[in-house]
Amino acid sequence: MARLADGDRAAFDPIYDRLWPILRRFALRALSGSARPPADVAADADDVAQLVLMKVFARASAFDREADALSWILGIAAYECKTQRKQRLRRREDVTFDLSTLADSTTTKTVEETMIAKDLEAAATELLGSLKTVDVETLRAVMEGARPPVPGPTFRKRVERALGRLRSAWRDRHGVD
Amino acid sequence: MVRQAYERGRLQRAFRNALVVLPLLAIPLATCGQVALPLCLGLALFVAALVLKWRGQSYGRAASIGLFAGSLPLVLPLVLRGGGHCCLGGACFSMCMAGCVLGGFIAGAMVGVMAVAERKRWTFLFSGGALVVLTGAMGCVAMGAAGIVGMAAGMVAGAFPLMLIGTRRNR
Repeated sequence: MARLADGDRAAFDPIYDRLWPILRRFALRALSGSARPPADVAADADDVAQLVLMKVFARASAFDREADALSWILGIAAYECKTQRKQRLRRREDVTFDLSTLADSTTTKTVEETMIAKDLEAAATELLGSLKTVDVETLRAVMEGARPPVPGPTFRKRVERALGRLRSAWRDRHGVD
Repeated sequence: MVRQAYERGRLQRAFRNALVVLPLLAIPLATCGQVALPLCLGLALFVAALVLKWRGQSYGRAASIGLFAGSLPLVLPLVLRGGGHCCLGGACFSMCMAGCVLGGFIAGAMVGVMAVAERKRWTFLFSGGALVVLTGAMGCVAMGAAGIVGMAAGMVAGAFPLMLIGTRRNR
C-alpha cells in the first residue's frame, strides 16, 4: 500500500487481487443478519466491496505510510456498509409510507365525493329556507328523532305534507326527484 | 474503473501540491516589473510539477525537492539586488548575477545530495534539476538570459559532482 501511495503502479494488481475477497467477505458479514434473500445480500456486498475499492484506490496517494493499511481499508469498508444499511432502511420506510397512504385512500372519501356531499347539503339547507316554519320544524323533529306534543296521526300527516312540499320545491328548483 | 479512480485521486493530489507554484510566482511578479516571462515560466513550472507529482516515486520526490531548492535562486538575487557590485580578481559582477549563480549552485548541491539516496539517481537528478532551473529562472529573469544561464550552470556545477562523490562513497 505504501508503494501504491508512492505512485508504484506495479503494486496495483496484487493489492486489488488481495483486497477484493477480503472486502467482499467483510461486506457480506456486515450486511447479512436481516430477513432478506441471500442473493440480494450477496449483490449488495459486491456493490459495497466495489465502492470501497474505488474509494481506497482514489485515496491511496493520501495513505499514511506509518498507519496499518488493513485497518485503514476496513475502516472505509465499515463506513460504507453502515451507509448501505441506512439507505436500505430508508428505502423500506419509503415503501411502508407509500402502502399506508394507499390504504388510507381506499377507506376515506375522495375529494370529489366530499364536494358532492357538501353541494347537496347546501342545496337542502337552501330548500328548507323556502319552506314554512311548521314544515321545517316537523322535518327537523323527524331527523332528530324527537316527538312534538301532538297526536300521532296529526304528526304523520304533517310529516307527509312537509316531505311533499320539500319534494315539489326540489323538483321546481332542480327539475328532478 | 478502479484504476481510473486511482489515477484521478493521484491527479487531484498532484494538483493540490502543484498549487505551491502560485506563491512562488507571486514573488517575481511583485518585484521584477515583468509579467509575461515570469507567467510563462510559472505555467511551465506548474505543469512540470503537476506531471512529476502525478507520476510519483522518484519523479514525485524530485518535484518536492526541486521546488524547495529552486526557491533559493528565486529569492537570493532579489534579496541581493541592492548590494551593488562584487569584484573578484579583475572582473566585476552585479550582486544579482552572483546571487543567481550562488543560488543555483546551492540548490543543485541539495538535489545532488538527495539523489544519492535514490535508487533511480539520474531520474531524480534530472527531474529535480529541471524544477530548480524553472523555479530559479523566475527570479533570475530580471538579469536576462545571462542570469538564467548562470543559475543553470551553478546548478549543474553543484549537483553532478556531489551526486557522483556520494555515489562512490556508498559503494
